[in-house]
Amino acid sequence: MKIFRRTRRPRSTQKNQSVTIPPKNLKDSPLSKDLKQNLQILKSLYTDCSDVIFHDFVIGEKETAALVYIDGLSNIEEIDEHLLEPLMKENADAGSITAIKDQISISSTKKINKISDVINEISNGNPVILVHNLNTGLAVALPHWEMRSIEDPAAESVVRGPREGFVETIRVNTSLIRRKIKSPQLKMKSMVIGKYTQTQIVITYIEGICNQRLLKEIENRLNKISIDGILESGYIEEMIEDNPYSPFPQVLSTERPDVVSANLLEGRAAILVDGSPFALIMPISFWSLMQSSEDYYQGFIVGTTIRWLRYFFLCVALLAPSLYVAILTYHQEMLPTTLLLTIAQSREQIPFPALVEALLMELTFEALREAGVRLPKQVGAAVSIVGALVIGQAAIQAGLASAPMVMVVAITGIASFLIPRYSMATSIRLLRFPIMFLSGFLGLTGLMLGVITLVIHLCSLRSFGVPYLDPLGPTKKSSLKDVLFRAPMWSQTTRPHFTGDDWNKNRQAPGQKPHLGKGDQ
Amino acid sequence: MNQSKVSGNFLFNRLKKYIVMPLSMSLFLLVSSGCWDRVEINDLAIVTGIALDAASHNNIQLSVQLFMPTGAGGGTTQGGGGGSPGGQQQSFVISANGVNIADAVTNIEEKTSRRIFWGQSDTIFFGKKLAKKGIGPSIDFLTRYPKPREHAYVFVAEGKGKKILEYKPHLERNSSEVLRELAKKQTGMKVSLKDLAQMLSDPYESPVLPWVKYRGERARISGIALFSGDKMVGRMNKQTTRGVQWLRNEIRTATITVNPKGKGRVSMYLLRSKSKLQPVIKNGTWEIIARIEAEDDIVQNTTNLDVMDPKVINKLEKDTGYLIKKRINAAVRQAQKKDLDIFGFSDAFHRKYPSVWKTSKDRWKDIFPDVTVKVNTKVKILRPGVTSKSTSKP
Repeated sequence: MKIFRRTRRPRSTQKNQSVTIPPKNLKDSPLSKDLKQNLQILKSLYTDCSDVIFHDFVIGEKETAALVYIDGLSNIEEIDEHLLEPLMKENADAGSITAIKDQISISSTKKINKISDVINEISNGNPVILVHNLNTGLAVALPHWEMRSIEDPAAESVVRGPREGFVETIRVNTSLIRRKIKSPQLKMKSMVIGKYTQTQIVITYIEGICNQRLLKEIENRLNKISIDGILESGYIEEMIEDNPYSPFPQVLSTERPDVVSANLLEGRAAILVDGSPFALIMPISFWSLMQSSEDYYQGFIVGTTIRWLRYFFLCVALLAPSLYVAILTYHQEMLPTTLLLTIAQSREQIPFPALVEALLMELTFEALREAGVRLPKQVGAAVSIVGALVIGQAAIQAGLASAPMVMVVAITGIASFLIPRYSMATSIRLLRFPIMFLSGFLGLTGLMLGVITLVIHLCSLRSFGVPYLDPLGPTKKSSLKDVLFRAPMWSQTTRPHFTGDDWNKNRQAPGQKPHLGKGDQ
Repeated sequence: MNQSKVSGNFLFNRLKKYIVMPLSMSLFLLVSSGCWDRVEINDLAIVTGIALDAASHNNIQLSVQLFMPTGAGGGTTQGGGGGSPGGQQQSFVISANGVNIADAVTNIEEKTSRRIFWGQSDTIFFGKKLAKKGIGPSIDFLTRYPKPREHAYVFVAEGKGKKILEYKPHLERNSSEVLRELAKKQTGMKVSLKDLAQMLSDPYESPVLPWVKYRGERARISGIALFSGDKMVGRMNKQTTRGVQWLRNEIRTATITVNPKGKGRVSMYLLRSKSKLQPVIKNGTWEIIARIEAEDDIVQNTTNLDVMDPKVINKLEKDTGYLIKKRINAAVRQAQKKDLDIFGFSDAFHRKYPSVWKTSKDRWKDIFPDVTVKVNTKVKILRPGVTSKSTSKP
């Protein structure tokens, strides 16, 4: 009862309150000519911050100055060599910021006038020089911190294709994309989200291919976010989805620069988030979640076949246990006689109804999978051994599960691993259970009801305004070549069309099918 | 602190609207409508074959062959187990009497702990006595009641149908599986419940059912039982049945052995065959021209003929055609003698001459014995085999 009363409280209270940040006014104040005052403000802001270093020194033995930086974010050796050494010479000039800039041997510098700029710069690893009698500071770009090296992305490994993945540093990630797409049309719009984390976000797209309205929509949605911190791109994903209650991912997350580049070239936009190796791609469709980058690196015949294999096993992953339960509890006449007799024989000792048996085994499988993912690698091996016992021969011998059920669970497990996008595989795994209940209660009718509900939901779903089943949902013939098949490179002459009239249609010149020249040398 | 509370309530409202309400509603829906016909496989007595026999006091005896899931020796802890080789008891037969089949079913249900499951019964056997009394009432149940399969094969057993259900075959799990496979091979006649119902509903066509003999622990299809209406009136032997099958376009496998001039025989396997009935009514005489096309391979040659010679092949083709003609004529003669249209001639005339048929269909019983049947055969020997002359002959 208490809960209900609480829900009735008017929502306006939410808007009235504001989180008070005491030094807010201090932050916005401009730098003064008085070095001591500047330092005092900064020090008061950074009270109890042992990692912030205030280094006082004298320029040319005349003017007092201070170097502010955060330990561990800046390259101290270079500061000593290229910043402090030239400035501390006897004849160094401290007359103006420009003069100071000319004396140091650092390429990238920036003049700053505000306390908040100082905070920004040192947070990003750029040391700031503040000089007495000057109300401008100088930020020098000497960031340097420990980061992970570029590795093969673990969740999206390929047999053929680039073996580099994004890392946690946004500049490295942007450089990975820039190295693939060198045109100046590749744009990287930067913004900052997160009250405390001040996380840098980069929206990247190719001007002229990406729809401007889409970009505006992305920016709008990002601007609406007001949150304490962004620790992973998943935070952003959840805040910008079209339908937050759908189990299906409406934004594609990937660790691979080649996937991002390919999508940019098709007119999509990507969001990179500092601190996360996962880039977000939008708008996407159901089908792009069923595609792997390797489809395009292998021959088109192989690519097409593997795509269809995936579509088939998508159905298996979703429906196999439900079908088994439905047929075994309601439609025994549908099985060939010999098969039914064999199943009857193996089920004879099982004390549970088929639905309970299926649930038991599927839940165990999911638990094992989850345990295997979270555990350290050394323990993981033990889990797989125990797992093989629990949903394997031992379960059959104990008389708790029948051999066909184990087969079904195993094939379902394998099938769910065939879905190339992890987020998609998870939602399919999840949806398996309600359909299983439906078919346990209503038989094949229930199964079909579940499938119909799912299809209706998929039809109504949109990703940034683009129908989720596009180009199959609203049929677009020209885009089907990349969904039903993987058309050969030489025939993919048009880009996919999402929405609107301003569509940069032609990707490449037609008629590039390789052939032996007839007479022309 | 305050903020988190408010957003919590907000979430709860949404939760209530989108999850709790639909979930509880669908739960009611599921509970109120589902599950009523849910049966676990462990609670089923799977019927693999049905036999119907005549019993005393005008009653009917219904026997069902039930699959025994635990019966397969050793297969209990191994789960799958698999079919244990012959001799092991995997099925048993239960029978009960009743005034009709529906009544007998109830009596059987009383005897079994599990629910009788008809959906997998592949075979239906009528005992000879019951077949002579009439199979109509039983067929009505089997076609009206939705549970039994319409694709089940129907047979008439020489003695009691129950006998056939009871015997233990060597290769298959149970005897009804044996008969199903035999029927599928189409060396004998194959009639499904649906076919039978169709034949029975046509007043001009006489139904036929394969005749099952049971001798020496082995059952086999041997010829056909002929019906007039729903009562069995006679039989036809194996050889003559082949003639019927040729005419009904139901020959699938056959070995044709001809005896050409000279010593020895030539045998051929049938590859493909096609037969077509072409009815002709001319000057009041009703005639059927049966066009039979067959393609064969020579598989054995014990004559000294060179089968690579086109002339020889021509001769052999003619001989084969003559043999087929002989078979068909024998079948037609027998059928016409008993005045039973088992070939579907009535249908053929009806289709070709609908107006004539309308006026004279009531006289069909009189017309049929006098229908002249001309057989045109077109036999092709496609391959003489991998050797030319017989290697054993000089």
